Amino acid sequence: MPTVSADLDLCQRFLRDSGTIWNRTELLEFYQDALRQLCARSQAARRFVCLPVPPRWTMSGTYAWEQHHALGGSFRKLTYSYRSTTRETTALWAIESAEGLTPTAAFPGVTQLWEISHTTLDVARHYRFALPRNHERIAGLWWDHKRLWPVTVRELDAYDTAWYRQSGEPYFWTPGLGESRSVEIYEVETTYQQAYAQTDLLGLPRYITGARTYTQTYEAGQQWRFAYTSPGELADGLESTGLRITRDAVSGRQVLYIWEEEMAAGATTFTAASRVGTYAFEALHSAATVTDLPTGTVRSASSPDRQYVTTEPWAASVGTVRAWQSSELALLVWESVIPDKPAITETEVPEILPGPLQKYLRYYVLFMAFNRQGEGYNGNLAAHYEQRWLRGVRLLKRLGDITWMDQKFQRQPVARTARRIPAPQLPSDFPRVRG
Amino acid sequence: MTRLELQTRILRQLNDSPTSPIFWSAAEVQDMIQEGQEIMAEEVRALRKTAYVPKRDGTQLYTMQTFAPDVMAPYRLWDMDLSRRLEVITMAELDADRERWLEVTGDQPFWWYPAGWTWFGVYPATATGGGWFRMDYLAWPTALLDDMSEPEWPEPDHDGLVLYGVYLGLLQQWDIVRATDLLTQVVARWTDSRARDGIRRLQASLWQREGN
Repeated sequence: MPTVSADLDLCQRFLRDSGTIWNRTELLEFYQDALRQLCARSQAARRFVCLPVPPRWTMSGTYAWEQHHALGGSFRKLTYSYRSTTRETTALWAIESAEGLTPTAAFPGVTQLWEISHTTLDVARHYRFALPRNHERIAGLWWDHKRLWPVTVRELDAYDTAWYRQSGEPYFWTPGLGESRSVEIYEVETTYQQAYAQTDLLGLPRYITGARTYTQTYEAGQQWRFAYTSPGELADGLESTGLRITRDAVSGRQVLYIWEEEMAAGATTFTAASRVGTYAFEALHSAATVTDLPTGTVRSASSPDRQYVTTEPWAASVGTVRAWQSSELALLVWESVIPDKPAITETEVPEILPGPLQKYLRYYVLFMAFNRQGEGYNGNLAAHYEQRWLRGVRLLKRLGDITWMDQKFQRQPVARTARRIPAPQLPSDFPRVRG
Repeated sequence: MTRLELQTRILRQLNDSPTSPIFWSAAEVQDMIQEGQEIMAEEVRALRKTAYVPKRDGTQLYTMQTFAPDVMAPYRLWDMDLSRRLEVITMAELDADRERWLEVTGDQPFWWYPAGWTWFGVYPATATGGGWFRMDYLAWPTALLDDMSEPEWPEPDHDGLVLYGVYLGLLQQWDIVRATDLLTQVVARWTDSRARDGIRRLQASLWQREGN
């Protein structure tokens, strides 16, 4: 795939301009807009992401303006606004008090919604889950692998109950009331579920533990750089990865064999021990096999019982695991996304799209360039490139449903056929029911 | 036609020298040919290829580009172990059929479903793994690597690549009237190209009336 820079070079050829009328920054902005528009309008870039239960927000704050300090993360205002939003309070009784009314016993306030898991009190707050920053729209939502169906707030309001704090097993989700990139579930599951958590927030996952059993596989043949017998040797300046070949120290001495350990303990009979090896090749000379040295980090994970998937299937398989999530007893979101920030630069490649569709990004750039007010305006060319661009949107929308070629004539739904109960046929002389 | 022949024709129709072009470099014209090939692939859908996907235990979602970097869209998924074609389904239909279908594993999958332009899923996932799916797919065209390379299309469709190259050349000249006219001619040829790849292949059928 060509880089953005190569695409912009090509655009400049079609514009017959080398930066005099349309500078490079402007073209790059058009390109970034095109990428975002193409993803948003086609909804073809889809991925799975897990949201833990109870919900976690990047930041909670008192005033809406504090959102600026969430640095692009999710922000939840924990307070109630009153008096034309000039004042904020954590408890509803303050509003009554401010108006000179007798305060009513009010619901307790929480800073983060996960705190609800730790209280038996009734917290009258909407139970909202923040969606990722580059979220575009939800294509499917499951809780504990059970599909939640979308409903509107009006439908839930028809229950005439405080549905937003009705605890129980979730069956529905709703855009709800509140931040645009967040959803609510009904009923509300507040049990604290800990999936995976990184114990140290720096670096990479090195060791994974949990209720499940994890084993590692690695490429054989990676060797230790040296062997040593006591920690003091490391203090003498040995660096890199070394294999300690001694057993646990006995009476301050490092021992190689188990019989030495037994002798130091005063035993009179000893266990035979095989030769200790320091390098793998010594196994050829009757030494105990020296284990390999697994280096690097987690590259993939697999299980016969479940699948581990990457959150960006279109990206090249580079880098490492940064976050590890589970869909068990959590929300699993199948969503369409747009490119995440920071915006794409000239040295990068728009991996989120199939390579051959890059030409439609160029068409958008040309459409916007020719459509811009000023010296370079050309309405006819702008209209032509707009049509080419729109064709790309339609094409990618179709490619988003990759089974479209196989759907003709042979699609067989496995869903149970809904059967309508036949209406009763009453005899003509049946007495009329009066309401 | 070879790439050189296509290039020569495009330059000549753009009134430039085929041997020592002035207004377009050879690389630019080759880019035009490649874009024409991509457009043809999108519209005519005649490039069909096959890749084999190994079944992995516990796996529902397969990234197509892992097995076929040039895949545009699969049109058939065949279970080679059972000699059976997988039927298309949607996640919503699976949800309607079984509440926790995401957790289900079985002997062999019966259905496949879309999950974005990169993934397809199979249901149920195989519990043990082993064996293959044959994935027949519409492909993006391969770039023509040298002057002797020929497009993968039938020879009668090569003219369309020339016309498309000329169309792009005219766009660079901002000659929108002639460019639009040429694009109309290119689009008109797609119908014929689709037929050539589709129904006309059955020309020799017993029930087909013979033409002369």
